[in-house]
Amino acid sequence: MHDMSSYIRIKFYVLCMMAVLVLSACAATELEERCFPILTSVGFEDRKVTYALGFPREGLAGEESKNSKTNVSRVKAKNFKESKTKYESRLNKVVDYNHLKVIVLEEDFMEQVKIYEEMIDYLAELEEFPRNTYVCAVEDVEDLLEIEKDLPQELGTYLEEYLNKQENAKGDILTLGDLMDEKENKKMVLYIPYLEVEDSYVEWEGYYAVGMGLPPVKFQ
Amino acid sequence: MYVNNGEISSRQTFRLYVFDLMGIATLLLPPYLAQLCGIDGIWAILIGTGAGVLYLIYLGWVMKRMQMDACTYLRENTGVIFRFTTVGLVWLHSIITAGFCAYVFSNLMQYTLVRESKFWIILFVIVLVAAYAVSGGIESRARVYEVLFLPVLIPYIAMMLATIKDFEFVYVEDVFRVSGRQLLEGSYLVFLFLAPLFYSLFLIGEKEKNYGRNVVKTILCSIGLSALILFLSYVLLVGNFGENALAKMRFPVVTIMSTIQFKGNFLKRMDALMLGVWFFTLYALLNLHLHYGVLLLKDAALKENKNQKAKQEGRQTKWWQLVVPSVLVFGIAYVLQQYEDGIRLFLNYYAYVAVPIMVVLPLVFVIVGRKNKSA
Repeated sequence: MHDMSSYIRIKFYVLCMMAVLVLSACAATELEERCFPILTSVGFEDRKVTYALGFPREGLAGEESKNSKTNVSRVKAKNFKESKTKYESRLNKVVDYNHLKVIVLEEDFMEQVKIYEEMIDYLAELEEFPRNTYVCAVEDVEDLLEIEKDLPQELGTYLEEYLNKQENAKGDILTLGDLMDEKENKKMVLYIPYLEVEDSYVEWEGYYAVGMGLPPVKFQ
Repeated sequence: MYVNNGEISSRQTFRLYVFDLMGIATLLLPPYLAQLCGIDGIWAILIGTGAGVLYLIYLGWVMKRMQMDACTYLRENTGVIFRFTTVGLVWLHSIITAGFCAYVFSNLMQYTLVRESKFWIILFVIVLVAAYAVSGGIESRARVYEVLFLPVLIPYIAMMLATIKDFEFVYVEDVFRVSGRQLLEGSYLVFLFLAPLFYSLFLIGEKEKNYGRNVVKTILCSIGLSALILFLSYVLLVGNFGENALAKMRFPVVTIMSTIQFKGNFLKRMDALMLGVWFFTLYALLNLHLHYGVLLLKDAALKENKNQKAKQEGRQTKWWQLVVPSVLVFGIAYVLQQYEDGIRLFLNYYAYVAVPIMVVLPLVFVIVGRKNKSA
C-alpha cells in the first residue's frame, strides 16, 4: 500500500513538472530569432550619438551570416539609450548581447563627458552587455570599420585577439565591468586602450585615462 | 532502510546547516552590508558571528533544560493554549520564510538563466519540487546534502580564489571609517542570517545526560565554516568591485563568477555551472522552513495516543498537511514579487518581528514548562 501510494505520488509530480516545463518553453525566443553581435561602435557626429553593431561572419550553424557587415545603417540619436533602441528596432531579430566582445568608443564621444557618463550608468542599470566586454577608443569609428574587409576575421574577433596579444606588454585590458565599478567607486585611474588605424591594421598608440570622478583625458 | 523517525546524524546536521547558513548569506548579504558598512563589513561579520555563537550556546542551555525536542516538550509540559499559540507563531514564521526563500530562488533563476519565462511558472516548479523533497522526510534530504556537500563547496571556494588576480587593494585599504551605530546595524544584519539556528530546538537529539550537547557542538562547527566562507567571499567581492559598486549590485557573488576567465578557451560558462551552489543551498533553506511548516502542522494535529499503530500513522504526512503549507509558500513568494524590493521588505519583518521573537521564545518555553511541572 505504501509502495503504491509512493508510486502514484511520483507519477503525479512528474506529470505536473512535465506540463509546466512544456508550457514555460512557449515564451522563449528561439535561436533563429536572435542575432548575436560581437562588436558595438559608439560615435559622435553632428551633435548626435551614433550606434552600430558588428556581427560574426559565420552564423551559429557555421553558415554565412546575413548580418556580417558592421557598417549597415549606423543610426544617430540624442543619446546612447535612444540610438541603441533605434538601431535595435531596425533589425529583424532580437539582439542578444551575451556574445559581445568589444565596445569601440570614438574620441569625439569620449570628449562628451556627460553623455559618456550617462552611457556607463545606463549600461550598469540595463545589465545586458557582459561585464567582461573589452573597451577601446579610436579617433574615427568609420576608419576602423573600413578596414574590416581586409582583416582575416570579423572586426570584433580581430580586436579581441589583438588586445589579448598585447596584454603581456601593455597590462590588463580594460573591461566594461571595470568602467562601471570605477564610476561608482571613484578610487582608481583606468586606462582605455587608444587604437590608431594604419595601413589596414590597428596599432595601440596610447590611452584614455578615466576614473576618480574626472573627465576622460587622452595621452600617447 | 527506510526509518522515517526524523533523526539525522551529526555529519548530516553539520552539512545541512552549512548549506542553510552560507548559501543565502553569500547571495544576499554583501550588497546590504556594503551599503551599511563598506569594507568594515568584515568586522560586522565577525561580531555578528560572535552573536550567533552566543545565541547557539543559549539554545544549548534551553535544550539541556528541555531534555527533548521542542515539539515533544511543548506537548508534554505546557498547556494547550500556550502550545498552540507558540507552535502557531513558529509555523507562521516558517511559512513566511519559506515563501521568501522560494521568492529569492525563483528570482535568481529568472534573472540569471530564463529571463523570458514567467515568474509564477518558475516559482510553481520550485515549490512543487520542494514539496516533493519534504514529503520524502528529513533523512532523505539530509543524505542528499551530505553527498552534495563537497561537490558544491570545493568548486565554490576554488572559483572565489580565482578572483584574487583581479583583487584591487585600493578598494580595501580604507578600514575603520564606519561609525559604531553602522557597525552594530551591520552586525545585527549578519546575525539575521544566522537566525535559522532557532530550528535546532526541533532537532531530535540523542538521549543523553546533557541533551543537545552534540547538536550544539555540531552546529558550532557549521557556524564557523559558514562564517569563514562568508568572510572570504565578502573580502573578495569588495576587493574586486569596490564597496560603492557592490552596494548597487543585485547578486554580486553570481556576477563575480561571470568575470572569471580560464585560459585555453574551455569552461567558458562556469558562471552558469556555479549557480548550482545557490540552487542547492537555497533549496536546502527552503526545504528546512517548509519541513517545519509541515511538521508543526502534523504536530498540532497529533492526538495524544500512546498506541504504537496510532503513533506510526501520526508520523505519516497527510496530503493536506503538505499541500496547505506549499500553497501558502507559493502565495507569499508571489506577493513578495509584486513589491519593488521584496528582499528589503522581508528583512524588515525579520529584523523587527521574527528574530526578536526567536530570541525570547526559547526562554519562555523553559519558564512556562517549569511552572507547569512545579504546578
